[in-house]
Amino acid sequence: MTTATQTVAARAAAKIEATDLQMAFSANGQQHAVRVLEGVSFSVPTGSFTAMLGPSGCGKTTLIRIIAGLLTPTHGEVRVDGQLITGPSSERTVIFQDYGLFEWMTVFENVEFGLKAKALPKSQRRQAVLEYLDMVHLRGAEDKYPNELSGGMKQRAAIARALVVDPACILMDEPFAALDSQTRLLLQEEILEVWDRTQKTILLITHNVEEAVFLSNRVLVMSSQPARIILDMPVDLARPRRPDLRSNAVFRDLVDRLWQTLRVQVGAAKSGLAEAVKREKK
Amino acid sequence: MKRIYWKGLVSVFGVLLFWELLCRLGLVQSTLLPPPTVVFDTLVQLILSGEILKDAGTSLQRVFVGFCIAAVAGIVCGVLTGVSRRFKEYATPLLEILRPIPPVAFIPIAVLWFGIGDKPAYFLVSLGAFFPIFTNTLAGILSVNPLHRDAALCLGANRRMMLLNVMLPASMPYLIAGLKTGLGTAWFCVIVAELVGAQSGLGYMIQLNRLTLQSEKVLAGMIAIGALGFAMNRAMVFVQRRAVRWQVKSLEA
Repeated sequence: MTTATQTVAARAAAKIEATDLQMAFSANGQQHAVRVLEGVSFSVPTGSFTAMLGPSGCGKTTLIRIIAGLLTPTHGEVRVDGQLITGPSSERTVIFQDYGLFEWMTVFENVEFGLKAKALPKSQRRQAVLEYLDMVHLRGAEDKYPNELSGGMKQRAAIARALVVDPACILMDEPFAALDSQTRLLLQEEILEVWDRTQKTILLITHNVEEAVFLSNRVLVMSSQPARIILDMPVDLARPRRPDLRSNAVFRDLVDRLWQTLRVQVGAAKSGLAEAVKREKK
Repeated sequence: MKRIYWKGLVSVFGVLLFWELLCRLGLVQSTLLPPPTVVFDTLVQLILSGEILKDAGTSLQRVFVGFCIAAVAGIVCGVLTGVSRRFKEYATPLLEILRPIPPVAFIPIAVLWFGIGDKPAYFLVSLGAFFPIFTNTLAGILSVNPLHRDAALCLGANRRMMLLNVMLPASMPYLIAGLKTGLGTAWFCVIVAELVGAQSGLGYMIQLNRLTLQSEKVLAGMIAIGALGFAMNRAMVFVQRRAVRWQVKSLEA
């Protein structure tokens, strides 16, 4: 397990580099009572699509919030192109599970938000917004409010909003988890198209093994809490990836191997939870 | 919808008819309770002579000034309390001490300080309208989804955009509800202020006519007060629909 962590940290020329991230939250008045991350180190090379796989509740969201700059780790640091991260910026946009669209703004205004923050002139903003709405197949819906959209359309709008500011990397926090399975598969393919066109560095966080293998060049597996990285597996499947890849033997084999690693952690997470409940009862 | 409308009319006209009959049959003293037909007649005359319009204008102007002061102060304080821990720590105890004192209890001191006329009315109206606007704005700011704040930060929003494009619009449903309640309180306060601390306005007008035992004018004034209060509330409902169109649309969808 330690060797896996070390090989991960050893990779050079990284766009995102996380070094020995530790995160602990205080609970019941006790400082650092809940240890969420414990020595998480990894690097994501420029322009790669990396998936971070872990059991539910293992601290994946905490990790992505730290990389986004929304949360300061208890220990360790994150660098993007060598620059230490101290706060959020549109260099690292986040696509959230629950979309995070501003309900009081139309789709157009939502996508335009980050460009306004960059103080771009109006005509340029308009052109860019429409271009990206085109890319996510949302042209024609620009005057709708988020509450008038389906889940898939909402996430498309959120993707356009995250892309339009031309970030160095995109962080995705379970972006398809709230969608029905059909929409989920469709959006996975669309994300690959978008990645192909934009060549952004993408870090995807997910608990879905197939999703991780289908999308990424590389899967990192996190342990249950306190989380470490316990496996680094390259995914050498040809691109472009088509839906029929899912029935490919190599694909199935990768999914099986990852699931074998993951199921131990899911079990550990469960028993950890049971213990915590027992302690609470006492 | 239509049936509720009809039922409402039935009860209103039922009460009016009952009242008219009481007077016609001589069961009540008409100097104390004149029949509705007479009251209505008086109201029309007061409107035609312009007498009541002047008083109504005075009251509305006082409400407008006081309400605007309260809206600015209430929204600013509500936002500051919601976003700044330091401001909250300084301001909350002070506001909590002042809040349980009904605005009406400030009338004697307001008259002492400001005399008779517009000023005590401005003071009472802004005081009365401040608290509903303040508490609702604060509740609105506190209700902002942390996800929206995170999303805005990750898109590079500065403080100004965070306030004007995220926090305020997100709290708009609460904010407008506060303004609506505040306007109602403002109208209530202006009438009370005029009853004791003014020599013009609708509150003063009904008080004066009580002294001269012209109860039909008192009742006509009361109807005018009710009608204007109703109209202001409807106006706010209209504003509310416009301002939170995104929410209304979601309810229709």
